[in-house]
Amino acid sequence: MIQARMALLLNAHLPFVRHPEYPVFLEERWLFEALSETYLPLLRAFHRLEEDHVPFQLTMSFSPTLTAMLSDPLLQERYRQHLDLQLELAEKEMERNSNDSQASKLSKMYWLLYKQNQGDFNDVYQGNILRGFSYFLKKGHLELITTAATHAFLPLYQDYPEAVNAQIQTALESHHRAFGRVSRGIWLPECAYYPGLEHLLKRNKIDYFFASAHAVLNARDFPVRGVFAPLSLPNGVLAFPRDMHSSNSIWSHQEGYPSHPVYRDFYRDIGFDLEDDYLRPYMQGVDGRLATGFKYHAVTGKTDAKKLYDAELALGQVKEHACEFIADRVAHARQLDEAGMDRDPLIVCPFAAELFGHWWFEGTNWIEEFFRQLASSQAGLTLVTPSVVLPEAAEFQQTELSFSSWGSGGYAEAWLDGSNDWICRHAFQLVERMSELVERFPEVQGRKQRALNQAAREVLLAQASDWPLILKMGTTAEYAERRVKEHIANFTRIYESLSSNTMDTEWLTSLEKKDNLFPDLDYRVFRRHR
Amino acid sequence: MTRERLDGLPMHALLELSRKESLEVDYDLPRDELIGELFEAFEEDRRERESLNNLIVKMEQSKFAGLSDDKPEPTVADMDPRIPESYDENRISLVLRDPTWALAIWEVKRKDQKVSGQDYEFRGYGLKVMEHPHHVDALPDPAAKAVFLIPIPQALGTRYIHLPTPGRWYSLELHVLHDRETRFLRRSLLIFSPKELPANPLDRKGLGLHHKRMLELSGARACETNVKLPVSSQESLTVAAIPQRIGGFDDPEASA
Repeated sequence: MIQARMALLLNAHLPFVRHPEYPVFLEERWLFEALSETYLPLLRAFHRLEEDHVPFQLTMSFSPTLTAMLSDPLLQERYRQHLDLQLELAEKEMERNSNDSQASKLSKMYWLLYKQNQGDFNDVYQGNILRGFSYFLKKGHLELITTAATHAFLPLYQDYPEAVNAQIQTALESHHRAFGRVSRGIWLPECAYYPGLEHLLKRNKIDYFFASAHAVLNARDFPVRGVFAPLSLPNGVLAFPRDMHSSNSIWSHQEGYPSHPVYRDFYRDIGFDLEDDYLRPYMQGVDGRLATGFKYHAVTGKTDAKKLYDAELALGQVKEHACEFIADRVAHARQLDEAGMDRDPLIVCPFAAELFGHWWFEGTNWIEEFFRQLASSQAGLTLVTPSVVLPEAAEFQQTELSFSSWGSGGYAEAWLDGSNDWICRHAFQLVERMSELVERFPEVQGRKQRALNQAAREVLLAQASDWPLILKMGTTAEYAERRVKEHIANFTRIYESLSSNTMDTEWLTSLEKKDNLFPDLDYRVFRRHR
Repeated sequence: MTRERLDGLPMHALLELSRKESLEVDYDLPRDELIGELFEAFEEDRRERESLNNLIVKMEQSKFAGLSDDKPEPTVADMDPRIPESYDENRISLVLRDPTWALAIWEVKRKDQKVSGQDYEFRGYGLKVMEHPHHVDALPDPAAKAVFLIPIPQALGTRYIHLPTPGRWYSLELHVLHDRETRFLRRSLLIFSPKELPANPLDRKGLGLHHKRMLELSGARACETNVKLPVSSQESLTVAAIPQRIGGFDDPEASA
């Protein structure tokens, strides 16, 4: 029988969006939707697996910006309010659809989803779902790792090792604070690597990272095991290559599972279909329309005449797709064996966590079903996490990788183009000035120290890869631009205040309250590397 | 247009601008005065544009007044944050985008701009692309050769530069151009343009059958370098959508 190992990775990340200065803030919904559709349903799936004694193992990376938001009392309270509104809307929807049994069933499905979320969030996790993931970490089902502090696209900062180091070191500290454990591995934001990065990883005691397929296929030496075994970099750090076939099984537009006609359609939402007056209480004061999360239609096909969603049909399809995924991996392992692969292949499948449940509504069910079917099958596929593989490091091929990312085009095309390249001048200047401040103020206390720590926070926040990507894609570009500018402006004001030895304490305090992540940050993390 | 930018322009460029702005100036007008007049003209244009914009904003607000009762009053936080236009430093950076393109970012400090601008032989600035056969720890590198010089009129800007030969090290030098000489100002750090590789790793030379088979099984035909950049669709413009980090779903393999 063919034997193969499989490592599933979910990268959970959202940019830091927290606006206490407003009573409600539209972009905070990114977090609320991910909580409702991905994180809480995923935890419920893990609990069901545990109750049924189904063995499951996977790796999850949590970005420090996300863990900061998930453990933030203000956002927790706002999520509770969001759930109240969603439940109110669900009740209105049940009444509106009371004469249509199929639609009414769907309204009830959403009511149940939000009711379960409310119960779990308040009663099981007391507002902080990181407790849930910590539980499965302790149980040995999850390996938790970090990513860069604000999910910066690290190759852009290769001239500034102090900036890259600050991203990594801050992330590790943040991870330890959130989960009480050391992260042995790292998810490089956007899977983006540049030669030399491994030195900073090693310096921070990181043993492994994940690499894009083409980084490995175009490595210095021919990768004799393709993408089906880790590669060892000259300093011993391991790179786990991404398998494109398993990735495409899920995310290919043509063949990917979420495009199946019976699955729930992402775009069709009552927020765009119903009357203004009816929806207004749920539009958060927005001029125009907003997706509410209440979506009643199935993908159906390339037509505007969408069929009503049938959850039972969709869950039946989930079973088929889980079965197909396992069968395809086994078939692939057999082909590798026939091609003369000299050891059991390791199939690495990294995905963005939020796409399960949020984008692909049935995605969290699919993950659960995948574990169930794998456990009951004799497929020869064994689940592993990277740290299980680390002791075998000496057996892996040693080579050097090239600059790469998993973005379209394979390099920095999405994060560096005419729509967003203006950021670089300022982001680089911020790093230089921050390092200069570290030299000027090597040991300070009190208000100056607070100002310097806040300056370091603003530098990190300005480096988030989300903003250039949003600017490139044209989605909520105005907000992204404003965020980058705000952090540049905040840093510059602190820098100038320190130069003139005057500081508006009230303003500094308000900034600390607003951009309140990384409470343990020490500005000296930006000390220049010589 | 800022005064700093005007300070950085050569005399002939200033005269050309004054012609476009329909300013009547004498050709023997001192440089500082010419810059002052140009600056005032640009400021007047700006004020006019802003007053028109405000009118549009006011009309828009009145149209939606009935819908925006619950919106908070505009506060200082609503204002567009002001960021520095320049940092008054001589600097140059070269940022690798992909194996053949890199972004150049440069700035000339005001004092140097002023000194250069007073010289009638001043012809602007230049970016000299330097190719290095090997990595070096310290610059300048005697083995480096200048592959081309790009004249740039502005003292501050960005520009994408085509890297002629993959698999080489590159740096960029910022120079002041005069009629008979160039003056070095600053150089960037080295970047390495990844070696020339076919978009499809299966096209790599010297592959045996086993190697080709392994690449195929590794998904070489579908790997990231073969994926085109997505074009954002109307559907993906949903305000509250989670930002898709890998690309739009209208793109076959862009999303993972």
